[in-house]
Amino acid sequence: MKRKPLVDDIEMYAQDIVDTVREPLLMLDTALRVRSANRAFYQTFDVSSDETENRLIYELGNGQWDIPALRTLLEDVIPRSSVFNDFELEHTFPGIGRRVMLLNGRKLRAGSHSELLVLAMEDVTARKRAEEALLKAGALQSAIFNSANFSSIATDEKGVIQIFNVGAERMLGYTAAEVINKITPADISDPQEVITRAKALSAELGTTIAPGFEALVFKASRGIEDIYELTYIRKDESRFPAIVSVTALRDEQEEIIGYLLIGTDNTARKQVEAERMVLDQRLRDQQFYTRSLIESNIDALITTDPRGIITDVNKQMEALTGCTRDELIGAPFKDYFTDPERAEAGIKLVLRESKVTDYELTARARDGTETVVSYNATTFHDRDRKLQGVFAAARDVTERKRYERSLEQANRAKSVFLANMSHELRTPLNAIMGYSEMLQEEAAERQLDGFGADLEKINGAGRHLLALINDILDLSKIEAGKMDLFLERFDVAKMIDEVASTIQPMIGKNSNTLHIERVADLGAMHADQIKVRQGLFNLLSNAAKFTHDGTITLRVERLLMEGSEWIVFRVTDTGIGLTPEQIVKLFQDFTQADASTTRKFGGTGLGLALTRRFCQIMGGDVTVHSIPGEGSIFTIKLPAIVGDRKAEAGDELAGAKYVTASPDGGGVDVTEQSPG
Amino acid sequence: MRSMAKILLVEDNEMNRDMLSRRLQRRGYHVVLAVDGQSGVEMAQNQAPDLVLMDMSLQVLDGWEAARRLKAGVLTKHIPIIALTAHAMSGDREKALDAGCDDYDTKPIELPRLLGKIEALLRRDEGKTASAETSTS
Repeated sequence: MKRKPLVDDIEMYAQDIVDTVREPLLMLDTALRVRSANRAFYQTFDVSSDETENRLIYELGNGQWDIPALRTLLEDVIPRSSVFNDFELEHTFPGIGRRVMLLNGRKLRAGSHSELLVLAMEDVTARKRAEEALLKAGALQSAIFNSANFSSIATDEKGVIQIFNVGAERMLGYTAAEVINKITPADISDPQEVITRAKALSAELGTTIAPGFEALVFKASRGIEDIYELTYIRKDESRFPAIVSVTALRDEQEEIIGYLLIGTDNTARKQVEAERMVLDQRLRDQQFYTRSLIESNIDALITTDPRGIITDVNKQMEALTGCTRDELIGAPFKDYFTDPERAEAGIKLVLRESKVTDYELTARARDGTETVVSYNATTFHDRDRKLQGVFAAARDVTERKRYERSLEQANRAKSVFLANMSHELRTPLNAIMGYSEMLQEEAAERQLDGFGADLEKINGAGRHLLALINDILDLSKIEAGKMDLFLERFDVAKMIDEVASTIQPMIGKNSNTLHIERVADLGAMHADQIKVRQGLFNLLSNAAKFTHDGTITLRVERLLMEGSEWIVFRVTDTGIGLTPEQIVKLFQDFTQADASTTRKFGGTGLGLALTRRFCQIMGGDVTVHSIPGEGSIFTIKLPAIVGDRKAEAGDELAGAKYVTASPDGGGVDVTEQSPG
Repeated sequence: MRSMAKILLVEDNEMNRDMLSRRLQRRGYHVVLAVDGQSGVEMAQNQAPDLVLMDMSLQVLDGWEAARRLKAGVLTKHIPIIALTAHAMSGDREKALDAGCDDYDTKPIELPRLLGKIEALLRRDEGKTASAETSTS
C-alpha cells in the first residue's frame, strides 16, 4: 500500500502521543492490521514489536487476541460509529491470566482515503475485583444482617445501640426505632447475669469491671474473643436464653468506635438440654434403683461372660469371697470355690441348659472361710437375642444344711429308738414266753395238767403281745421310711409249703380245710421272702379266723402281664365275708372290719395294713373281693423280680383297686382311692 | 451220741440265758455259758463246743466281732455258729451271715425251730469232724 505524506505526518504525530501515554495503545489500519503499538502495550502484554507490528490484531501473541467480544467491537461497532468509549472486555489470557479491560477507540481520518484506528485500553481488573468483592461482601452482610435467626446489634463506644437488625427486632420484640440511641444491650439483659458476669470478669482479669454494658464487652474491647450465654429480656418481659458473640468495631487508627453483638436464640437447644438432663436423671434414677436392688439382694449375685469371667458382683459376693468388686471383676468365677472344676461345670451347664437350680458349691473366701452355697443361674441376652453371659445367685445354705443335718440326726435317733424299743420290748417278753414254755414242759413232765392250761394262757397272751409289738414296730419303720427290702431269690413252691405247714394249726382250729393249687411251674421269685411270707400268712390266718367248717384255698400262679412276670397268690375262703363298708375300712391301720371283730377273732388289727404296705413297697398290691355271708377272695400280686429300692413312708400305688360285690352276687369292678 | 453234744451259749441277758440253757439241757444237751463276747471267744477256744449259740447284741465284744474271731481262729473256725438276732433290726440277718455265722434264728426263741437248726448243723458236721474231735464230751 502506498503511504501518502499526510497520513505519514498524522501518523508520526499520533505516534509521539501514543508513545508517551502510560496505558497500552494500538494503532490499527482499517484492515485491522497493527501499524504501531506503544511502549506500555509491549510491557503490559509482555510482547515484542516484531511479534506485534504489521500483524493482524487477531494474530497477536499466537492468537491470544482472538476475543469474540473484540471481534464484535472491531467489526460491528467500529464500522458504524467512529468513537466508542468504555467498552468492557473480559478475557483470560494465557500467560497473564484473567483481565478486565476498558477500551476506548477512535477513528482518525486522514483526508477522505485512509483511516487509522486508535485503541486505548485500561486494565481495570483490580478495581473490578474490589467491586465484586464489595458486592459479594455486601450481599453476605446484607444476608446476615437481615436474617431473623441472628440479632445483630451494633453500638457506639459507650454502648448505645445504633443498629438493631430485623433479627433483633423479632427476637426481642422491640422495633429498631424504640431502642436506637436510647438504650444499651445491658438494658435488655438479665441484670443479675450482668452483675455476675462483671464479678467473674473482675476476678478473671484482675481488674474491677462495673456491672453494666462494660461487662458485656470488656473482653472484646481487649481483643479477646468473647462468646457467652446471656438471658435477653423481651419487651413483654419474657426471657429467652441467647448465645452472644461480641466484636469491637475499630476505625483506621484502631480506635474503638463501637461494638457488634451478634446473638442467637438458644431456647431450642436449652430445651433439648433440659430434656436430656431429665432423661439422664431418670436414667440415673433407674440405674440407681436397679443397682440398689442388686445390692440389697440377700444372695450373692454374680454375672459372668460366656467364658465364665466375672463381669459384675454385688456386695454380698464381696462378703462371701472376702474380695473387692474390682478384684472380682475380670477374674474367673471358678477361682472362688473349693472345687473349681465343679464350679466351671456349673457355668457350662447353664450355658447348655439355660437354667440351673440348686447346684451345690462351696465358696472359699480369701481368709479361708468356706460357705456352702446353692448356685442358681440363668443365661441372659441383649435385645438382639445375642448371648451376653450368665446371671447367677449363690445362696448361703449353711442354715439349710444345718437343718438337714439335724433332720438326719432326728431320723437316726428315730432308728436307734426303734431298734432299742424293739430290743427293750422283746427282752421281757422273751422271758415271759420262755419261762412259761419251760414251765409247760416241766408241768407236762410232772403231769401237772392244771398248770398246763394256765401256763398256756400266759404264753398265748405273750404271743399276742409279741405279734402286736412286731406289727407296731413294722408300721413305725415304714412310717419312718426305715423299712428296707431284703431281696433274695427263693423257690416259690417251697415257701408256700413252709407257710402252709406253719398255718396248719390255725386252719384246724376252726375245723377248716386248706387246699393248695399250684398252677404250673411257679419257679423262683426275687423278693423279700420274709415279707412275702408274712403277707401270705396274714391272709391265710385271716381266712382261718373268719371261716368255720369251711374251705380255704390258696391258689398260686405265675402270670405274664404288661410285659413282665408276676406271681399271684389268691386266698379264697368260705367264711363270713365282708360288706362294702367293711372293705373300705379294711386296709386302714388299727381297724379290723369293725372293732368287735378284733375282740371276737383276735389278731392285732394291723395285719392287713402291713401286708398291703409290704406288697406296695415291693411294687405289687393286695386286693379283695367279697360277698357277705359267702366268703372272700384276697389276692396278692407281686412282681416275680422285685426292684431294689428303699421303702418310703408315702410309697403307695395310686388307686388300689377294690372289687366289691353287688347285692345280687355278681362281681363289679370299682376303683377307689386308697384310704390309708 | 448226739444228746451229749456240747453247746456254748453266749448270751448277756440273765433270763434269756437261764431259760435257754435249762431248756436245752432238758433236751439232753450239755450247755456251757458265756456272758459276753470276749469270754465267749475264750470259752470256745478252751471248751471246744460242738456248736455256738451267739446272741448278737452282746457287751464288751459284740456278737459279730466274736463270730468273726471264732471263724478266724484255728481252734474254733470249724465250730458251727447260730446267731440269735432280734427280729426288727434291719440287716441283722445279713450281718450275721457276713460275719461267718452258719445260721441264724430270731428272738423270741421258738424252741422246736431252734432245735431243728441245731440238729441240722450238728448232723452236717458229724460227717466231717471225726478227725477234728479234740473235745472230751
